[in-house]
Amino acid sequence: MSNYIKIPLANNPARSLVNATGSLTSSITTNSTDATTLASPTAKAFTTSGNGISGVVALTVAAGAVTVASTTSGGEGYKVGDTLTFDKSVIGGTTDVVITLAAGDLVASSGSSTEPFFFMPIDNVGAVVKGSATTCIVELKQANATGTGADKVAKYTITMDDVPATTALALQADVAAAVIKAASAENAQPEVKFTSGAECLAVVLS
Amino acid sequence: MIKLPIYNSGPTALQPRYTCVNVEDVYQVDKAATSGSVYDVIHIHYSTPSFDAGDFLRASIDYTTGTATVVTDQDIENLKDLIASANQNPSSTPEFELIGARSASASDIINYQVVDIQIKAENPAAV
Repeated sequence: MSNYIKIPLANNPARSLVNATGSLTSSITTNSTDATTLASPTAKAFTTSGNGISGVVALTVAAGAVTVASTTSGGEGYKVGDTLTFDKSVIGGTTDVVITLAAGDLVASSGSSTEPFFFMPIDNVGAVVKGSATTCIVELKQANATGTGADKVAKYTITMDDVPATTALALQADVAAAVIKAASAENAQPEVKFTSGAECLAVVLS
Repeated sequence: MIKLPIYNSGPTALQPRYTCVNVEDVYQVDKAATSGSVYDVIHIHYSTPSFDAGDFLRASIDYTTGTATVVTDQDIENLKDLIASANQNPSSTPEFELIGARSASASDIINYQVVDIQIKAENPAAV
């Protein structure tokens, strides 16, 4: 009898902003009518509703309205639906300018948006080993015909997003906890609970 | 399957989190030294063949944190007994703990927790 663990896949993974001229213009959901004129693109501070950090956005303002919004530094940790708010105290006038991020505003992700879980069979799991802060390795008790050196053993590589951050040891323990539970209860298909809210982008067998 | 405490993984050394190792098809368990006669690694040999002629799979459980021996002959015997017991009770996932951990101080107990695990293919006759 085969048992499985369920690894939740991120359907809205945190990512960097697309770094391009005018990349955010079409995502302005609230514009101003009396902001201070900016004839050339100028980086302006903003706040976000999510956990994104370090993004830099330059605005061009004409006739009181933002006409071009460009990402000049992608930062990281932004999600679809997050808002970027430029306070009126920063851009002048009487109205905050709000950008609501759409999928096209963020770099491509290897995370799945259609499959909620990856089902990993545990019958031939050899060991859950330490990877890195963004990967966990599940080595199988199964040879790999095409591998060389350490890759002569088949393995799953679980790739995590780097925001929110976790650690190699935490990932190892999180995955191992589910494998131990599945091994102890044949009818259970436990879900891996990633601490720190870390999100899984992909699981690859090699 | 058996579970093993992970080095430096819990909120305190006395509350480690665990990883796990498959112990089906194990035909031999022995200890190994990473340096001289400092025994700090356990090898679990599987009867699972690799694709290279003569090679079989082996798990290395590494406890290397310092320069002292932490794996003893009695640990190997205890692990063999635990593996036999785990295979008699397929739904069990018993914990394996080195003997030294039982008498270690709270600050030293992490030296008896697993630092790394690797599964490799090797030729038993060549080792």
